[in-house]
Amino acid sequence: MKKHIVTMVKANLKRDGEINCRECATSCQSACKTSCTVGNQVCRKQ
Amino acid sequence: MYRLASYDFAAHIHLYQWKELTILLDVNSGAIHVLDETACDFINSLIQHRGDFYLATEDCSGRHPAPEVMEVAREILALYEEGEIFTAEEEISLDLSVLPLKALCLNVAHACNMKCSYCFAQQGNFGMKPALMSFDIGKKAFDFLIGNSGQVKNLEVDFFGGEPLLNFEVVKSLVLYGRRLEEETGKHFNFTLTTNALLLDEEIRDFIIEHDMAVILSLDGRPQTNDRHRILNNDEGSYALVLPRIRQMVAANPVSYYIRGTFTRHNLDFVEDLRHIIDLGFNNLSLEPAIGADSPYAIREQDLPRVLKEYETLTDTLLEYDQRGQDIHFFHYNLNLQQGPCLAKRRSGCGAGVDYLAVTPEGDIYPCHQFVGEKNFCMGNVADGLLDRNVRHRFQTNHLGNKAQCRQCWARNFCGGGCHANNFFSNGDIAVPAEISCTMHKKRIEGAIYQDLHKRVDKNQKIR
Repeated sequence: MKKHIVTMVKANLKRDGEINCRECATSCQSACKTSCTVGNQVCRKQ
Repeated sequence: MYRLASYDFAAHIHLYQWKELTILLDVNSGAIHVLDETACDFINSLIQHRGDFYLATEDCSGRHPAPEVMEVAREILALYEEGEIFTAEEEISLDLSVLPLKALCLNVAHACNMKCSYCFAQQGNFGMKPALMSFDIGKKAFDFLIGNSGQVKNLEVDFFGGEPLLNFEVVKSLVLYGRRLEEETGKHFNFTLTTNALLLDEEIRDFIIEHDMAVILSLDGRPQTNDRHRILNNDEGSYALVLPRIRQMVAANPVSYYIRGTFTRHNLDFVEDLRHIIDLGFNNLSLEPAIGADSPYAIREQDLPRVLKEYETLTDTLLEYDQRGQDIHFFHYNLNLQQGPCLAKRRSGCGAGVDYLAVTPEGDIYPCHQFVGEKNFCMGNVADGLLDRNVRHRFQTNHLGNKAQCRQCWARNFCGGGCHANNFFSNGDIAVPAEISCTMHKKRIEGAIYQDLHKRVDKNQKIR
């Protein structure tokens, strides 16, 4: 049990066999139409 | 830990304080840790001593009890072994030229029934002759999308303008055509309509609901904010006319909706506009800064301290609503920290000019809606079915892997290298980051991460 550092989000960015499947949403179409945000798209393959 | 001697801490970790939490983002793995004071001091010492563990331990032992410092050192070592901290950047080969087409922004109307002062589309016609897209051109655009979509199943079409409802009959015909194509091809279309809501009547609402269309509804917030820029053709403000229509649309329960507002340098207290929109009963919203080097309304460098402070207030405000049990989705704070997109998606960015294109009423193709009318970026026409190789190549190669400045930035895996159009209109170059946008974006990412952690820390009672 760590006392000084608490991991709130585990490592999750990885390359995998399905990269570039492009099934997740296109960021610019989702709501804003002005500011690119790729980090908030949900992967549809997981 | 021998590798840390040459570790680029500035590019690969982000350590920041947001209110009660000291947060460490391990950029390459996406792991996020909350640190206590000793651990924070140790990490800072490690950075200061260029990764020398021995010197960092010695340095910290002068300020904290030695056993505590040793505990921190052991915890960091364990995290390092587990691949949760000080991870290396994975090299992946990004060849965007192989990507199929996935999404189209269809400018079905280069005309508008409003004349918003900040409109990037120059009151709807993008500086060109007003025009409506014919069904024939729209059909060709759909065929072009299907024909170039390869194995991708989920395709996207946003009906955009100008004001797309000025051409609703064509929108209707194209949605029905798209649904027929789904049956023939096994593809699936996600349809979106971006509208100022003025023409949203019962017939249109019913169609949107029946055909599972998502809607993006424009409203800037308080009446005085909205009516400063969102002006009808008779010079009156639009708030009183559009609000009932927006309410009826949302009450009809579309498959997805966002209230989409713009804030300018004239309402830097934009959290009041966010509150107003939420208090009207809307849970999904997006407030975007006006940008662009030439616009008198755009956020300028001197506005940034106020804007960044406002994002702090915004974060507190969202948490307030959360504590009251209201589930608010602020678009830029919807970061999926646990299960976001793959690295290739993150590094290839928004997809403009690659798997996302915009089409004008005449069928001309541009890298995205913001480039429409910039003749040097015209990529072809849907009637020809060919895309200009030079323009395409510029966008295919303008990804994170090729942006030296972005590769040094901790926010890169969230922004994907930023918006090509922001870059172009700020710096005249799609590859040079627009600093003002970057600064705001980084603050939003910090706030979004804090918001997520704060909620979970509250629930788990692990920290404090």
